[in-house]
Amino acid sequence: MNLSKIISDLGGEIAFRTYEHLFLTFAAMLIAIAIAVPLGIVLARTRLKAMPPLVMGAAGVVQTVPSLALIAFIVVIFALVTLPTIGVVPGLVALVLYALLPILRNTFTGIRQVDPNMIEVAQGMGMTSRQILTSVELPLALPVIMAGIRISTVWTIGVATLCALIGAGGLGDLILQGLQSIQMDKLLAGTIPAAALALVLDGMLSGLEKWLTPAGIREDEGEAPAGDEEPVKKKAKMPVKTRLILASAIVGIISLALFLPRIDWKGMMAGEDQRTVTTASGQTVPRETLAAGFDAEFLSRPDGYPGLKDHYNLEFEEPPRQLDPGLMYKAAAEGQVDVICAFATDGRIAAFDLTVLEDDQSYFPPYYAAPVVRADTLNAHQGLRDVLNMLADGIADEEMQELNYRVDEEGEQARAVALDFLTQKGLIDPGAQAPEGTGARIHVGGKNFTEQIILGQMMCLLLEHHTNLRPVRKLNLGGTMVCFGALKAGDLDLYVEYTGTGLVNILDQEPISDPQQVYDIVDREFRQEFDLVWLDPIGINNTYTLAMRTEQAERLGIETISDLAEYLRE
Amino acid sequence: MITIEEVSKTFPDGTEAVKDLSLEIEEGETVVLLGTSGSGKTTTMKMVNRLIEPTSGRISVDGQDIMDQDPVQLRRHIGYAIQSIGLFPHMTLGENISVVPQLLGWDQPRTDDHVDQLLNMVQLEPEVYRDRFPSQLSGGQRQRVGVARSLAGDPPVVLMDEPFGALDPITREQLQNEFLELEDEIKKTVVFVTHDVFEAVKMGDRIALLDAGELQQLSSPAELVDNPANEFVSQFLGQQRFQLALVTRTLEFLLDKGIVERTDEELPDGPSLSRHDSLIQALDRFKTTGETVLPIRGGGRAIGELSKKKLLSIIAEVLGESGEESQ
Ligand SMILES: Nc1ncnc2c1ncn2[C@@H]1O[C@H](COP(=O)(O)OP(=O)(O)OP(=O)(O)O)[C@@H](O)[C@H]1O
Ligand SMILES: [Mg+2]
Repeated sequence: MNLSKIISDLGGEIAFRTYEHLFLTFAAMLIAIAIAVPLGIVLARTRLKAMPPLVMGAAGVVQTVPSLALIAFIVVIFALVTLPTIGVVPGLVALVLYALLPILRNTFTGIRQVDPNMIEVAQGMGMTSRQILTSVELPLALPVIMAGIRISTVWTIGVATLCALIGAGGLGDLILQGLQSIQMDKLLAGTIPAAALALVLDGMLSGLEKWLTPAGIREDEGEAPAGDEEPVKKKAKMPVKTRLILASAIVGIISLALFLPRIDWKGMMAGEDQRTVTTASGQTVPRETLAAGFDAEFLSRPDGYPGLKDHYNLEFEEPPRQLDPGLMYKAAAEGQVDVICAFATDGRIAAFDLTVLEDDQSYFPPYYAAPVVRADTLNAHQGLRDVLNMLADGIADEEMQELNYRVDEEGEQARAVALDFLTQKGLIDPGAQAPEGTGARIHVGGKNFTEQIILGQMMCLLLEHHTNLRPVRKLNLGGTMVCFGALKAGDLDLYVEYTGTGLVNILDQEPISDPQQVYDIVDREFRQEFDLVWLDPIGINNTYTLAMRTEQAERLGIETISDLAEYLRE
Repeated sequence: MITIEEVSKTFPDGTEAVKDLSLEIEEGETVVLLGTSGSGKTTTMKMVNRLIEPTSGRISVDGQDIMDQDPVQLRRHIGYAIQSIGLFPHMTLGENISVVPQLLGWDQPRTDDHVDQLLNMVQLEPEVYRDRFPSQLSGGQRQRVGVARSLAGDPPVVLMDEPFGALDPITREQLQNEFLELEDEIKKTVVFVTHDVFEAVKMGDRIALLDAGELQQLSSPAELVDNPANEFVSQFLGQQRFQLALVTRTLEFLLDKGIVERTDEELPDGPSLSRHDSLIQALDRFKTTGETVLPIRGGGRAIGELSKKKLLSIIAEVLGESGEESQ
C-alpha cells in the first residue's frame, strides 16, 4: 500500500477522475455563481421586505437536506419528469443547489453591510443606482462575496464525490470502488486527490480574494502611518475593475480547457465522418460510440471489468462510467449508456428490452447461489442445516428474474415477495403465522441489491416458520467484502453467496468454468480456511453478463462479448 | 440662489422634522443652519438636493424648481459633504475627489488638474496624498478631503453637514479658518449645518436657528447675539451670549456707540486695527504686536485709537454683563 505503487497502478485513472472532478466542480461553481450573485444583489436591493427571508429560507432548506438525500431526490424527481437520471446533468443540478446558499448569503450580507453613509454620499454626489452598485456596493462587498465562493467551492469538491453514485464520474468513483472491495489503495487514490483539490482551490481562491480586495480596505495595509512628509511609493497598481476582468478571463480559460474535452466532437462531426464497421455477420453498419456503465463492484472486482477487459481485449472509447446498480438498467434502456454489466437473474433485462451478450470465451465463472453459514452456528443448532437446505435447487433463473422484477419495478416488498414464493412452493403453509421465536438470534446478512435481500428474507422466513430461532435481518450491507468480513468475524451467521464470487473474489483464484468444480473448491477452502460451510446451491446461476439494448445490439450485429470487443476495435 | 418656500417635511412615521420653513439664500452667501440635535437641520439640507423630498412647499435652486429637475443631474451640480465624512474607503483620495468630475464627463487631464488644485486648496500636497487611501489619513486630513470632494466639479452650491464635526478644537479652528479663506477665493453659495453656535457665528454670513423643525431667527451673527428674537433664542445662546459677543462685536460697534471716540487722521505706518475686527481679534493684535496703543483704520485713514487697557476693560464689561445677569 505504498504511494508510488498506487500511482503506478492507478495513475491514469486518478488523473482522469481528478479531471472529471475538476470539471464537475468548475461547472457547478460557474452556474452557482451566475445564479447566486445576481440573485443576492437583487435581494439586497429589493424593497420587498418579505423576499430576502423567503429566498434565503428556501436556499437554507436545500442546505439542510443531507447531500446524499439531495442527490437521491434529484434522481427520483428527474425520473418522474423523464429527464436523465444519471450522468453529469443530475449531478450538476445537485451540486449547484448545494453551492448556492453560501454565495447567495454572502452576496446579500456583503451588500447589506455596506455603510449606509457610503450609499447616501454616493447618491448625494449624483451617482445613479447602477453606478452605486458597481462603484461602491460591489467593490466593498467583494471580499465577502469571494469568501462565500470559497466556502462553496470546498463544499462542492466534497459533495462531488457523491456524484459517482449516479455516474457523473469524479474521484468518488475510486472511493466507492475502494469501499466495495475494501481496498485501501483505491480509497486513498480517491481521497488524497480530493483533499488536495480542496486545499489547492481554497488556497488559490484565498489568494484571488486578497488580490481582488480593493487596496484601501485590505486588512494588512489599512492603518499605514499618516506621516505627512513620507511620500507613498508610486507603485503601478491595477484598478479593481481590471483585476476582476483579468480574473474572469483566467477562470474562463480554465473552464474552456476543462469543457473542451467534454464536447463530443466525434458526434458533432458525425455528418462528415461516416465511419463504418463490418460486423461479424458481414454487414456494414455505421460506427457508433458505445458508452459503458458499470457498478462500483463490477469495476473493482478481479472477476469483473478488470479481468474481462484483459480477457476479451475490450477497450471502450471512454472509461466506463460508474453507476449505482439500481440505476444501471434504466440508464441503458433510456440510451444514456449502451453497455452495462447485468446479473443474469435480474428481471429488468427482459423488462427493459435488453439483450445479454454471450460470454463466448467463458470468462465469467459460474455464480451459483448457496447459503454460506458459520460452522459453529450449524453445530450449535441442530436441524438448522436441513431448514436452510429446504431451498436447495428450489429456484430457477427465470423465477428469480420474476421475483427481482416484482421488487425492482413493481414496488413490492422483498419480504412479501419471498413469502409468496415460499408459500407457492409449499415450503410454508398458506396463512400460517410464524411462532414467536424464543431461541437464539441468528444474524442473516445480504448485500445491497434486490436479489440478495429477497434471498435473505427467504432464509429468515424459513427460520421463523420451521425453527424457534430468531433471525436478525442485516440485509443491506455494502457488498461482498463487507458481508464476508462480517461473517468471518462472527457478526453474521449466514448469508447467500455465489460460488464464482467466493472463488475469484474471496479466495483470489483464477476463474474456472465448471460449476461443480467451483463449488467443490469453495466448499473445501472455506471450511479449511475460515470454518465456513457452503450449503446446497439453491439453483440460480446469477452470473455477471454484459447487456445492451436489444435494438442496438441487433442493428450493430453484436451477439457476444467478442463481437463487442471486435466492434470497439474497428 | 436657493429659495425655500413654506417647506414642511413629515416622515412616514409621523415625525414632523421641518415645519413651514421659508428661507432665501443669496448667491455667494454662507447660511448656517443651527440648532440642537433633532431640530431638522440635516433634513432641511437634504431636501435641497432631493435626498429627502419635501412633503409640501417649494424649493428652487437658481430659479428652477428642484422637483422639475432630474435628481441625479441636480446633485451633480450641488457639492455635498456629510456629517461622517463618507470618503469611499476603497478609492484613493484622487479617485474620491474625481467621482463628480467623472460623472460630469470631464476628461482625464482636466480631472487630474482639478484634483491637484483641490488638494492644494485644502493644504494637502497632491504628490504625497493623491494615491493614498482614506485609512492612511488622520481624522483632520480626512475632513479636509471631504471638503475638497464637495467642491469637486465646481458646483455653484455646496451643502455641508457638520463637515468639521468630531475634531479636536485646535484642528477644528484651523480647518474653519482655512475654509473661510477658501470661501473668500471661490465664492460659493454654502449651506452649512452645525449645532455649535461658535462655529455658526464664525462661518455664517447669516444664521438660521431652528428648533423642532421651526425657524426661530434668521439674521446675521451679531444681530442674533445682540437681539435674540424670542425666548428660545435667548435660552439657546444662554451664558455663551457674552463670549459670543466678543466674537460678533466689532470695533465699528464701539465707534458707533461712542465707547471709543471717532477721529479722522492720517494713518501712521506700522501695525493697526481694522474697524471690522472683533474684540477678540483686536486683543489678539495687541498680543502679537506687543503694542499698547493701536490706531483703528477705516477707508485708509485712522478713524480712532484704542489702548490695550481700554479694550480689556470693555471686554471685562461685556463678560461682566453675564456676571450681573446670573446674580
Ligand atoms: N428617515 C427618517 N424617518 C423618520 N424620522 C426621521 C428620519 N430622519 C430624521 N428623522 C427625524 O427628524 C428629526 C430631524 O432630524 P434631522 O436629522 O434633520 O436632525 P438634525 O437637526 O440634523 O440633528 P443632528 O444634529 O443630531 O444631526 C429628528 O427627530 C429625527 O429623528
Ligand atoms: Mg444632522
